[in-house]
Amino acid sequence: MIPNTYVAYFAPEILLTIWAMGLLLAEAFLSLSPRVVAAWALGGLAIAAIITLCLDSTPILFWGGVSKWDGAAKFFHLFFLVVAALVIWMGDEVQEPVPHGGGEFVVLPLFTTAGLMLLASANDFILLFIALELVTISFYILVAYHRRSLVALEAGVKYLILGGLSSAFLVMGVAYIFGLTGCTRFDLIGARLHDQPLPPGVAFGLLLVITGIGFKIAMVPFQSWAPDVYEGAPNSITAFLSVGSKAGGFIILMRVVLGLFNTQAAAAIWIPVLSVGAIASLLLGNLAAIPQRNLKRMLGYSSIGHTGFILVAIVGAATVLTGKVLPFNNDAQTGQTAVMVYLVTYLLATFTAFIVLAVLERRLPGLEIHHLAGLSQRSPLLSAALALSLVSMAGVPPLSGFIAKMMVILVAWNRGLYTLLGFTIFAAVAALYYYLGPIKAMYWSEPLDETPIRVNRVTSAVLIVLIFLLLLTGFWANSMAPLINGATLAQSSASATTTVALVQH
Amino acid sequence: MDITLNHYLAVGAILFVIGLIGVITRRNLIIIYMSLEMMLQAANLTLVAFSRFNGSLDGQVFVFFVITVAAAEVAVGLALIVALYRLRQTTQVQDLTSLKF
Repeated sequence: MIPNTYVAYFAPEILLTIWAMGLLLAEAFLSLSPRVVAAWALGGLAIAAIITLCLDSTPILFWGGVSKWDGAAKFFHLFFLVVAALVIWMGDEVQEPVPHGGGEFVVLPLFTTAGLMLLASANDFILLFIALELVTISFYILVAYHRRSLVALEAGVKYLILGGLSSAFLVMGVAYIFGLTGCTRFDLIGARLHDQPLPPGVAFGLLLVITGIGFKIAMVPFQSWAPDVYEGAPNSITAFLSVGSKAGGFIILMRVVLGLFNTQAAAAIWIPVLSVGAIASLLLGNLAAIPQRNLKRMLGYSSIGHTGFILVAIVGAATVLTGKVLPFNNDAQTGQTAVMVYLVTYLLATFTAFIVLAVLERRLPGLEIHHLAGLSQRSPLLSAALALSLVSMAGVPPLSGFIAKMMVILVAWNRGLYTLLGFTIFAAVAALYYYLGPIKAMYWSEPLDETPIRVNRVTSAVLIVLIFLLLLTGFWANSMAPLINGATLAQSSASATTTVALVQH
Repeated sequence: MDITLNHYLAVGAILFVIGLIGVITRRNLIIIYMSLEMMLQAANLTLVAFSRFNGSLDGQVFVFFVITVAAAEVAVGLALIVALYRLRQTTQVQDLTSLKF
């Protein structure tokens, strides 16, 4: 076992940052090929994953309390490492080669991952801000990486402006929370606000912080960037944004609202706000996806819809909520578990879909739905993978997306959130419609061009593994249990086991 | 008249709103970006004021981080805008039309 010092808990982040800087230097001076750089980057991720697996999930505050290790932190560390490995592999394997040295394209995700991992264990608004900006600034570059392409640059600039706006809201919100409580650490702020009416300034700050995070998770009304950026960014980066950046936003949202502002007075502010955001995201995401013809844009809207589902689970995870208690898993932690399960199934489905899209982008004239016509005759594997991932996102049993949606619906039911429950079910049904469009094109339309599409061996293997996991987690949801069990936030104020590992000079 | 915390907060809030209006209404990317910076500075001013009147240095430390991060953000942001200008010969948002539904 690794001793409980602060270095051990920060080791994955430190390792990835140094690794990435070393790789950038090596790439510049040794003229390595992008493939070699990608292999080294994947190696770094593997070491970081091994270190993370060696850390146990006992809750602990470390490095003077700016960071917190608990089950959720460990889960999200591993989650982001898997996401990054898939992104880097996609960037190298499937993406068309990027001119002017493709090395950065596979190294920058390492910085993003380090930022996301810092976010997952943040216990201080200063660390939260820095980690979030590390993620966002590297995304600006990655989104606009094809800088000879107008579409990519436009997407990058849109992301830049709205990302900057969200940071400004976040910092202003933190300023007010800091000003009225006198500290930036979550546990200290929680202690100050404990059993007190919420000062209006703190409520204002909380709203601004939720706005700032709302941009990251593409919650309505802060979603306007998502479809454009999803369409313009390279496929691997769209998948990264859609899974990694979104999960980063959610863990932070959970740390802020479920951890820090988990009081009756504060919940009276954020529960209505997030509920309205959830309903609006569910409706807009799923209804606006219906007329879309471009697949990446459609997935952009669908990702807004998925934000709505996850928000329902977060509202359901509020411990202060007084709801109906049914015998089935009545504790509030089910809400947190639902968030994790949803993110895992969303990861599997999204990456399957985007790997297929990345392969198809080079072979088809475009990624409109009608370009998919007759794909099942040209490549059974690609069409099956895309079909299964879309069906899983739609939440059709027995695929894993069904388990996730079912859990969200059960959480809403058990907690007595009947309005949210109604909208969730409506959105789940509406979503069926647009996910079936591409499947219809692939299986029931005649191909315009009958040449088979060949997929290389590694890509086929990855797709088959992802399909297997989609089916496995659907048929046997308990297979996710080792990953999810214990992956919950540690309540800092209530937990007696929490210790502060202060590092003296 | 003494200058109290509320005066600083009011200036901060006014700056923030001016910046927000600039981001929403302006049509030139450079001006929009400048307005964004103004919003960040408004937040910084608020932080420093709170820090001074609370007697806690955390806020001022945070301001240094915000300034540093904003500098990095500007470097990347202006590079993107310059790359866009080279390709499109414009920095007007209404000309960014290749990503429309």
